[in-house]
Amino acid sequence: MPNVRAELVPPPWGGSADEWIGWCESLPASRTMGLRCQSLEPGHTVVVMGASEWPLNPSGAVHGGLVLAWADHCFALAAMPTLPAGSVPATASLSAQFLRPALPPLMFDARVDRTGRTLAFLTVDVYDAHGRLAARISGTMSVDGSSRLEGRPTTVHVDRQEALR
Amino acid sequence: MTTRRALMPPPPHGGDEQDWIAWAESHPISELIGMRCLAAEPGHVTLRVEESGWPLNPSGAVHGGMVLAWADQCLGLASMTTASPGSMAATATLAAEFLRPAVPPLTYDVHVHRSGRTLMFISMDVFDADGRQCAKVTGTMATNGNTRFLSVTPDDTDAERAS
Repeated sequence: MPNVRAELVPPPWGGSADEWIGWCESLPASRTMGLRCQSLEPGHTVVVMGASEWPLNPSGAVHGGLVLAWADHCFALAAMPTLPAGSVPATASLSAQFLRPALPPLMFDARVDRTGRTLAFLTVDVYDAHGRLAARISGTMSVDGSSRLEGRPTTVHVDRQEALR
Repeated sequence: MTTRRALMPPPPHGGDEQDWIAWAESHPISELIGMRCLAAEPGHVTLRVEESGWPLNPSGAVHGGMVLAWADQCLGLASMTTASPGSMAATATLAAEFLRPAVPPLTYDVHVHRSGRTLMFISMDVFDADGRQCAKVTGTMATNGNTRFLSVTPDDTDAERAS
């Protein structure tokens, strides 16, 4: 399939929890994976992944790469509500431990451990179909990229009224 | 939720480079994501992905999660080039650093640094469309399980935990 850019879905900074949940679920990558947001508060997001778009491993587990892809996506979901309006976070580093086969459906519990001026520190716990910890992923995001991207087409809209129009 | 499982083609142990390239590209996940194998020998593979299954970031870069998903697929393919015949490998840990936006196509240059009885140590450099390094990824694979990885069921893992 050809490379297409995702449409911009502006984060609802200053909005209600329901608006944030709507934002989580409407992101293009979220729709691809059938993401359902169970709870969201600034710095703590719990989501369930609906479908694996790749075939499962012979063991019946979700491909480890897709677990990572989803975890990285959760980084952004958890971090965004903790950031100033207009921020464009980007994953800088990520480290994962695979504790057991990730038998679906999977639940991702993503926490922001700290958000500073330049970095956010995150941890995602991934639970398997039986509620057991299947993987733990931690990482850092660079969160000071907004000024760098100012004026470029990548800039996230900060005006919610304009964004919602 | 799909319950479809990928059938793994057996690795061509003792085969030449063309055998390994054909094997790497015939893997169901490789076919699904359009992963091409540019070079392959035991312990070293070079792979390329041109098109992203997920929409690109608004910046035009591949979603970091997809960069990792492809990296983990590279770990699996590279590990099988040095694993003993009949064994399987499962990713135990993976660590990544994102150096710059990953503008596709992406090229993965993957090296197996050591392949022991129970662990394999692998690293890869990821290059963007302009040939600049955009990410580096290291990982360890567990290889002592052999067929254990082929038949894990919830009951198996329960029994394993209880034993």
